[in-house]
This record gives sequence, structure tokens and C-alpha cells, in this order.
Amino acid sequence: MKRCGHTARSARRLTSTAWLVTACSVLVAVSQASACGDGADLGPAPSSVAASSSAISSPATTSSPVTLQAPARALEAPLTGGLVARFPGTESIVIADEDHRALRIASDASTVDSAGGFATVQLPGPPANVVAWNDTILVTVRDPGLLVKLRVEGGSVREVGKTPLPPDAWGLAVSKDGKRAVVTSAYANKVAAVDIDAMTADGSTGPVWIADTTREPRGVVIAADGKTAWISHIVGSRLTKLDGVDTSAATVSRVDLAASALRAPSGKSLSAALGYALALSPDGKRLFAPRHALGAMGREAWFGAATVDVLRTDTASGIAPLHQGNALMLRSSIAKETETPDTLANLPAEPLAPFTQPRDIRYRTTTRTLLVAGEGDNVVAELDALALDPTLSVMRTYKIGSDVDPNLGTARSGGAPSGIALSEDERFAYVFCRSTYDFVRIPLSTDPLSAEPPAPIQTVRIDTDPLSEDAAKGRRLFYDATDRITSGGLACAGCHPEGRDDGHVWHEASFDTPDGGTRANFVGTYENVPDLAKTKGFPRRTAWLVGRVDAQGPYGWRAESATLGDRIQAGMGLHRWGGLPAHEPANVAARSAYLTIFLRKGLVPPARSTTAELGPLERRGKEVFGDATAACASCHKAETSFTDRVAHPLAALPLVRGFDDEPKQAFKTPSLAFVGNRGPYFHDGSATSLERLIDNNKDRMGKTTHLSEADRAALVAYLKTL
Amino acid sequence: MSTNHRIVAIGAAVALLAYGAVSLGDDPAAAPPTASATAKPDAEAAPLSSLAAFDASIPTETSPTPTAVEWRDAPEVAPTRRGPRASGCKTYRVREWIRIACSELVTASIATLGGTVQGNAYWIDPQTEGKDAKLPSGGEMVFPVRKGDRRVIQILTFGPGYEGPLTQLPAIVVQEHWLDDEESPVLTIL
Repeated sequence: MKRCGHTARSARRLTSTAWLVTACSVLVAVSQASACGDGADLGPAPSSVAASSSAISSPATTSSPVTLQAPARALEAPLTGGLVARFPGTESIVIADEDHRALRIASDASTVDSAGGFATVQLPGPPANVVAWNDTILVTVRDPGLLVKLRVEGGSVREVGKTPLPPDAWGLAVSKDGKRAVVTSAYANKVAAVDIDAMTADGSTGPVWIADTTREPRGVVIAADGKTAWISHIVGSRLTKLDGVDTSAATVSRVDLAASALRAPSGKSLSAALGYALALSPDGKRLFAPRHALGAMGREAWFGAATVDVLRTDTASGIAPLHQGNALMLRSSIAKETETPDTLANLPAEPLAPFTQPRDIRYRTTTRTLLVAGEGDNVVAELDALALDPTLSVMRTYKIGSDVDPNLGTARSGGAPSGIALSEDERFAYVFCRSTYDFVRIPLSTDPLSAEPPAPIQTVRIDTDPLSEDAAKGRRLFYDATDRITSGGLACAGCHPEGRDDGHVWHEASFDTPDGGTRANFVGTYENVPDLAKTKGFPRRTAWLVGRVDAQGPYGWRAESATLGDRIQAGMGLHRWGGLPAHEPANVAARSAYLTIFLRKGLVPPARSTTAELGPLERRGKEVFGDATAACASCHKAETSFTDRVAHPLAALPLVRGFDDEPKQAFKTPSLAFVGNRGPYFHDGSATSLERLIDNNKDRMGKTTHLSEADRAALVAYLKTL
Repeated sequence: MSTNHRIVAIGAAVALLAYGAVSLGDDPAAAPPTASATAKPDAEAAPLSSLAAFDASIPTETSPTPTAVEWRDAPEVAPTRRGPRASGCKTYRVREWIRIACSELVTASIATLGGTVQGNAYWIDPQTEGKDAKLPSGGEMVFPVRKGDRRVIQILTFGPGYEGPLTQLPAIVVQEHWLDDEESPVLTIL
């Protein structure tokens, strides 16, 4: 085995008080490209591995010695997973580094000052969330879907158990007694419970129960009593509630939680995206959901607003009052004289994005505050956990992005903070930044409202980007919302999380903006469009990117962009309020070039449970799909990712309320790759499921009216395998 | 500020109630809530640590809007949180009624963003005219703190921005709630 230089150095840093764990005894060969980040392009991960024990090909391995501080105590509260987890009672942390398919372990996060302070544990697939306590580490693996249990024991780290799960295993929480884990599987739309003590080394023990949820379940928390769990989704504003988590079959229900209630148009409930994480208050009475409110109102609010919505757990209801457009207001006489139609005195005037693209959240008990990682603007914001709307009560903002690329405007250090853990005394936040692979230690003020300047943060580069330098630049652009040429305050990842989609139907509307001229921009809801424009915009559903951007072209809803780069450049103009700021054309071209490389090399298609063999129903569906009468395959050509990339004129769909009628009805044939789990469908999102799409097609696309009910079901079953 | 000075301020403010205040009272027959918002407090609020908590022994029964005299004699109390932007704002309590007075804050508008409006009253000092003309300096609000409450109120100030030098900009957000699963109310002024 070749050991990375930095991990070799870590051996010299072991202290006598540390619990030395020499994991080399369980090593197998580790990919140097992956473990050491030598800059080689790895390309997309394997797209599909069946979630069965037979698919578990390699155990977790370590590439260097690992040390942990001695565990101090048993669990005092349930554990909520994230990209960073601290061993309770110690300052030892473990980081889930998805892009390197590894865990990074630091013996003492309060003092670590170099990459050598982190040991690496290689995993059988990309990790998502991790928790740790005493001598145990649990980590979810996305592909193949696994929950892996590692034990720090007798001076070594051993993989002692694994449980196969539905693919794309992601969110993780552990009950207070340490007996049960709840895991979400993002692309599979599943949640499962695992008996931790029953996990076996050969993966022969499955979950206790598996339940269905809606799209993209991510963050999960378990209540102190171990009976209830809550799940967030990166698509939609509703949460999922699980009752009977500690039993053999949980009950699933959906819970409405208005997104940014005070910024919603009167009488309207907004959709949400980016619900990656949740946090419970220590008493369990409040559940905090950071996410992105689509269509939230405010000045130049094209993308909506970042929000932390608060749920009262006993009644499963949001505590923020709804916006009232005509509520009691008093204006000074000067205000009356000077205000314009753009004045929004009865909407929150606080910034729309005190943090951008929320990615993780932690409750800070000593100050009753919330720490939220802003993936897009490279900050950690500290909010008032006592407020009805914490987003309107930002108490302190810690800027951790730095070393800004002078050409691209992205942070080359502290980029895309994605995971947070608090130190034992809550005086420090430990953060992992996933676009620069940095560990950041933030000294937190004991009084977040004090005027004292923040103490300097410490940043440690753990590893280099596993992709090429150009792809790495594309990665940073993909996550970073601060570059004003790429977009107007929301990065690619804000609407295309992980290259997937937010399920939202945007409004492409043309209206005047203060920078002059009338331009087409995307807005979240028609109420975001200035009244004077008298337009609601055309519907444009967020496109799914990952696995669908390899073709040369054309791209765009009407095949109007010859190449992917052209399409990205068009998007730079659409995804903002107004026009592009002054720029050199070469700057736009460079950004689209880097992004093109990253979208093709860096985005990882979701793990799926597809197998080489289709079942009888799916085989029948394939026959229907290829049948000349149905003619599906005449446009959705299998050999080119199920699209001919041509814009075909089709009969108009019924107008969806809240949008303008669109005179031109020719849309490029969309690829059907991953079509099974990216509803709603069509450019206007009018088909909520594949079943409805086929049932209501009425020969609009190909010919389907002659199909029997059984054949329609077979066709849908086949489509879900693509 | 002396007592005499406050009384003078009461007289001047009452004369300007017609356009300087708005309220949604519990009882229209009761004294106008804005009449209470007439005593000019000192500019600097006391440190929170030196004040009694605003929710100490707060009564649960409903009472009428306090009178101006009651407000004059009301003690300053400490909200649950007060941010740097609100360092010049003082909080007073009479029975279950709260008055937040930001005497030196240039106040463009005060708006209910959401929640309970019953009993809310807002006050903006009028701008002075003539040679010594200046922007309206001083905004106040009064509302009751009762079980089941939840309200969010925003004060905007003037400053340079997208609408020119008198753009309305965020100054203070007040959030108050006493949900029925909470033992005591919460009042934050940030």
C-alpha cells in the first residue's frame, strides 16, 4: 500500500493521552487517486448497484493510523447525522467526504492544524451522513445503499457491520439508546430503520422496516423518546413524520410546513427546496427546517429566499404567522411621499439570503441559537432559535470563504460549507467545505449579539479535488452563489442540487429592471414579477442535469442552444434579476467551459436498484415502448439517451393557472434517463406522475389511446427503469 | 429626560395623533393606545442585565390599554433578546401590555408582518418642519402579551438605497409569541 504523505505525517502527531488506533492491520489496497487526491479524473461513479448483500464487494478500509480521544460517556441525546460528527464527550470528529469516498477522522478538532491531523478511512462507496459515539461510527453509503458500522476497538478500526438499504442511502439519525438508526434513501424515496446491534459483518441482516416517502428524503431527526422521527426533503415544503420508529412498522404521514410564511404572497403557500437537514430543540418542542423558499417575496426576489421554518412538534404546525398583505401598518408622511411601487414596507426588509443554499443546521444550546451552513455564500449564520422566523433574527454571520479566485469570483478556500458539528463546550463550530475539501474551525462568540469582532477562523485543507483542476473550478462555480456573472445570487446547486432538480416550475417572464431594458428572467412565482409588467411568465420546470448532459447538443427547451456551454451561458442571463453585469465575453465563456467539464465529470448519477434483467411487466413495457404504433421510440431514441434532441410541435397543454399562455408549443424531446423519479413532468409540471402523463396523453405524443390499462402500467414500469 | 419634559412631549404628541399613529384596539371605547406612547424615553436603553425580565409575573387576565399616566410610571423591562440595532430601544410593561420605544430611531414606517394585530398600536413622531426640519425621529409600538399570541412587527428607517436617499431600509424586527406549549412569552427585538 502506498500511503499518502499527509497521513504518514499524522503518525508523528499522536499524543500519549490519545487512544491510538492502528488501523493498518485491516487495510487493503486503496486507490491513490481517491485517497490522496492526485488530480486524476475519476469520472462518474458506478451508476447502479443492487442493494443486496451480494453487492457489497469491499469493506471499509483505513489508509493511515487513526487516533481518538477516549470516549467519555454514553449518549445523552439522539444523534443527528451530517457531514461532520463529533464523538460526544470528546473533541474527536469524523467527516464524511463523499467525493473521496472516505471518512476523515481527527483526534482533536480543537487543535488540528494540518492535513496530517486527519486519518482516512476508505469506504466501499461515497458516504453521505455520519454519526459517532463512544467506540462506534455509523455512516450511510450512497452506492451501494448501505449503513456501515465501524468500531474503534483494541487499537484498530474495524468494520463490524453493514446493512443493505435502498440505494442512495443518505440521511442518518440514531436513537438516544443507541439501538436504532433511521436512514433516508434519497433517490429511492424510502426511509428505513436499522437495528444497530443486529448489524452483521456480512450484511445479511436487513432493515427492521422500510417505508415509502415522497421525493428526495434527506435530513432525519429522532425525538428523545425514540418513537417519532421527522424527515426533510430537497423537493417540496412538506416534511415527513414517522410514528412508531421503535416498532416493527412505522406509520408515515405528511406534514405541511409553510416555507418562509412571512414572505409568501397573501393566501399562498410556497414550495421549498434544499431541505437537506433538520434540528430539534433540546426539549423536542421545536423542529427547525432550513431550506429555500421558492417564490418568497422581497425586493428583486427572483429566486425566493433562504429560510429556517419552525415546526411545533406537538401539533405538527408551523409557528410563523402567515404574511398578511393588508395588516396594520403606519407610514410616516415622508414615507408616503417618497415610496414607489417597488417599496415593500409590509414585507420583511431583511436580506433575502442571510445565507444561501442552506446545507446543514445545528442547535447551540448554550445560546439558544441555530448555526446554519450556507453552501452558496460560504458562511455560517447564527440565528435566534427563539424567534418565530429565525431568518429575520440573524445574530451573527461567520464568513469562512476566502482566497477568492480573481478570474472566477469563487472562494478557493472555505468553499461550500456543508456540514457542521459543535465542540463539546459549544465554543467552536467544526465545518467541512465540500467544494474545497477544507476543515474550518470557527471560534463562536459566547454572546452572538455582542459587538466584539469575530475571532479568526482556522482553515485546514484536508485533500485536493479528485478531479482535474479545470473540473475543480467548475465544481466551485457549481456551488458558489457569490459570483455575479454566473448567476444572480443563487448557484447552480441551488436549483439543481447534486445535478438533480428542485421539482419547481419557474416563471420565465420579461419585465423591466432598474439596470435598463426588458429582459427575460426566471422568477419563482408570478407575484415576484413587478405588477407593471402585467405578465406571469411561461412555465419552465427545472431540468435534471446529472446523466443527461453528455450529448454535444442541442440543449434548451426549444433546442435553441447548440451546445451545453451555450445553454449554460443562456442560463447566466436568465437566472438573475435584470441583465448580466458588465463583463468580458471571455469571462462568460470560461465559466461555461469549466461548468461543462464539471457537469460531465463531477456530477454523480444517483444509485438505483436497477438490475440487468427486466421483470415481466417491464419487458412488456419495453415492447410497448418500441412498438411502431405507440411510436415512443421514434423520438425518445434509446441509442441517444432516449431523445432525438429535436424540438417537435405538439398540441398545446391546458394552460396552468398562474402562467401566461405560450404561443409556441414546440419543445425538444427530453431525455428519459432517470424519468422515473423526477416528477412533475412537462415544461409546465402539469403531469404529477408518469401514470397520469400516460393516461392523459390522448395521442399527443405518439399514440397511447389504444393501449390497454395493463399495457399502460407496463409502459410506466419500463420508463421507471430508464 | 425630566418628568416635566415628558409632560410637554405628551401634549405635543397628542396634538399630532391624527396622522402619527395607528392602532387596532381591543376596545374602541378605551383610551387610544397611542396616547400611551407619548412619553419620550431617554436615548440609551439600560443594559438588559440590570432590568427585570419583561415576563416576570405577567398577568394572564386581559386588561384595558394602559393610560398615558400608567406608561409614564412604567418600569423599563428586559426583553428576551435585544440586538445591537435596538440598543436605543426601551421596553416598558404595564400589566400584560408592552411598549417598545425607539426614541432616536429615524422611523419611516412600522408594519405588522404577520400574526396577532388585536391591541397593536404604532406611533411615529412627526418630522419637524421649517428651518430645523428633520426626518421623523422616534417610533413606538404597544401591544398586549397574551397566551396564544404570535406577532412579527417591523420598523423601517430611511437611508440611501435603490430608491434614492430616502429608501426604506430594515431597522428592527420585533417578534413576540406565547404559544400554548410555552410556559412564558418570548420577546425579541433585533
